[in-house]
Amino acid sequence: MTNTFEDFLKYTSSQKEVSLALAKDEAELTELIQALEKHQFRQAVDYSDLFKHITQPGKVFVAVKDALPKDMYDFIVQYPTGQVEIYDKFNLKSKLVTPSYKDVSVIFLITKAALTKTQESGFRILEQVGITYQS
Amino acid sequence: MEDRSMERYEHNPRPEPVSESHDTVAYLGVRLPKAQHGEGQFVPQRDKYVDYIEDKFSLGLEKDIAVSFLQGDPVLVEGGTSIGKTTTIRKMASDLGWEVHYVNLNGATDVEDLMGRYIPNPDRRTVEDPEYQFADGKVTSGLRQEEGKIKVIILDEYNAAAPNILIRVHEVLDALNRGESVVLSEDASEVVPVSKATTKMVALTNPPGKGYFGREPLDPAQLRRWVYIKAPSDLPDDTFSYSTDALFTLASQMEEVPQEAFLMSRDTALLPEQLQEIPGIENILGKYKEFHKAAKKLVKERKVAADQPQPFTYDDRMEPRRVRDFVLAFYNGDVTETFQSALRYYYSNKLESDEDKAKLEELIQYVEYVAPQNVSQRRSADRNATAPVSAERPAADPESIRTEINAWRRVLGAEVDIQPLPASVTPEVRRNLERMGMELRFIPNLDLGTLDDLKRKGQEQFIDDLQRKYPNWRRYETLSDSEREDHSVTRNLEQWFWELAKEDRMDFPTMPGNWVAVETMPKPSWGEHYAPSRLTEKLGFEDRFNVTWNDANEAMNRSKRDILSEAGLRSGDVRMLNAVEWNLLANREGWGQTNTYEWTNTEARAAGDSLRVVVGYSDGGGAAYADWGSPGYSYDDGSLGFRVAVVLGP
Repeated sequence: MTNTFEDFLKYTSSQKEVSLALAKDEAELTELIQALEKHQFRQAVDYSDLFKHITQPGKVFVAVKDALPKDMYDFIVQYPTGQVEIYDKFNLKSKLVTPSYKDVSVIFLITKAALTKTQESGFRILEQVGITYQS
Repeated sequence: MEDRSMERYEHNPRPEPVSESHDTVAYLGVRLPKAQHGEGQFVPQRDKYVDYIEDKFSLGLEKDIAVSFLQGDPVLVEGGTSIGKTTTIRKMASDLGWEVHYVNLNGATDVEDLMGRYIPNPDRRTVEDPEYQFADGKVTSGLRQEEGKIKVIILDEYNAAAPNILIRVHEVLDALNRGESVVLSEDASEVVPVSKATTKMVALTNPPGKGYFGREPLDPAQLRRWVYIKAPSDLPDDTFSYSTDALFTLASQMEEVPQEAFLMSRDTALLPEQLQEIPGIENILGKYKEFHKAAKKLVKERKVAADQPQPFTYDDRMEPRRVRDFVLAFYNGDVTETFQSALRYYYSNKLESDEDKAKLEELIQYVEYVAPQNVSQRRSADRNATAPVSAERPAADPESIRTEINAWRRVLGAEVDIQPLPASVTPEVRRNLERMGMELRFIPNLDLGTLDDLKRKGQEQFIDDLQRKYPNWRRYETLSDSEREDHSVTRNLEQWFWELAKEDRMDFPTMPGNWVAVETMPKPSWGEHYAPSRLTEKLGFEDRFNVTWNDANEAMNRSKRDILSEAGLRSGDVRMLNAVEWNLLANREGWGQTNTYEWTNTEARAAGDSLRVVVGYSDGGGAAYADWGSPGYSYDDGSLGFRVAVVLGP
């Protein structure tokens, strides 16, 4: 837990785990998205988008308003293991990426309600993420 | 001698916990093959694991997983999120150049995601082209055999999988186990040939309950298909402390582990029909059967594993087969040690708490072979043959074999097979030999290759290849100055020696593997003398220095019958050690530390003259040093001596 959101952002760089920012509600989520964009973070809408930003220095975030999709859960679980493989179940093809970690920030932004829903569905992301922020 | 060998043990370099050769990687001694084609998008990149901390826990986990990989058994590892199960497997795959096919079963409900399904044909150009084509699922792509590739299928969060997925996975496991093909009902019953040599299955689970929602215990009947390893929920305290220190560079990235943590796999597995030749196999099998029943009872009565949420049993069919396969792959000449290691792997590893493991360990200690008092330990391969009976029990107790295995493991960095002592070597014979200043040593059967290999590769490459097989037997010319001066650093003979064989100036050495009784006295420094001995008197010399090779050899031939008789032996060859034998024992005993030379029995030829190789001069390489001397010349400066060995007959 860090004191300010700015502190939190500083520490997310080069982590070997995904970082998590917890918003009280959707209003705060919107505020945090704006703050991230102000700090040159790019929003990823799916895992393909995420893959583009983790093989070289970069800052990327995912905003989660509802229960976490399965492929995003698979991403969080595998990110620390040195290789991420996501299975595209429509084309039945694996997509693989090797995170570079160095100077890469990956933040999952999630509302409390979405986190509860996610945890209840069996995706225990709190055990998988690294540093965490909540206001 | 006892004290000196302990001292050497302290100074000898231990084998590296993770050691790599051109085509293998060994995890605490369990050696796995690298893939011939170790590249591609599914192979994890090695540079991502450069900061992987090889602490005791990680090394143990790698070893346990490596055993199952080697045996072709599917392995299920249950443990907490933070212990690094997936990372460890991906790291091993990166070492080995193996592909990883990963699927997380949490939230997956569709069997076709794993096995494949028909999708619209993206390459369809004409009406003749099929409208749909089959696309492999994750498991199917891991099962497909591709030349030069080895694949690991990781089924993560296995106990969060839907029941229909588990059923399909078990069909695959059964086919792999039987070495049969997998029939893809998803693809018009396509038959996919599979092999457990090239496809490794790993299931990973978090402990059911214990805060892990959605993780149900697996049915024990399903669990039996897997080698079940119960890892802790959190890292052990000492591991946490060590790995944290290592992260802050206050400790080495590779933690030192005791010798007992190693489990050396055989270069070549035994064949099942060779099992009956293992001394004591019938005796220990009887004890194993009793152990299995007692261990099952402990679990059934919840005297162990009472608080483990995942129920399991010790399976009557699977465990004995696994133990047998373990013995085939890891038998090290000590049937007790091999069996006990197997039981720790397949039985103790299912238990989480130290208390439970201690209870089972008491039972494991019972599985021990003690040779009967007056029956030879060596059983004939012919089951109808009568075991030879001697008046006194042969001295080949498991302790002797264990001592030899450990000693050569230190010298060579590899496991060697130790044959049982010849039946003629009773404790009385051993005592007689010791009175003459001799001790029993097994000179191992080394795979030196052939003269053709040496000529083709040249001596440098040839010695490097030997070093790949025997990592601690290092090429002398590659040692640093400080290593050359440190005679506890074990070393091969110098290149010059092998060059003699390459140029046909010496017969290519052979190392068939035999027990010898050898004089183990230290080699004196220049100006000192060999300790007086009964054997020196018998040979008719006052000292071992200033004796020609011819005189020493003649004295040995003349005294052979007398020496054998005093030892209580009927047969045996009395001679000096060959140069390679001398080198191996010098590395073990420390003979290379002093600045004198010794004759060997190895003949070298130069310009039509027959010469003998002399060895051992500390400033020239110690155990690695080799030169030649004229066998008729006595070198009267008090620097060249000799020692006697009795090569034991059957």
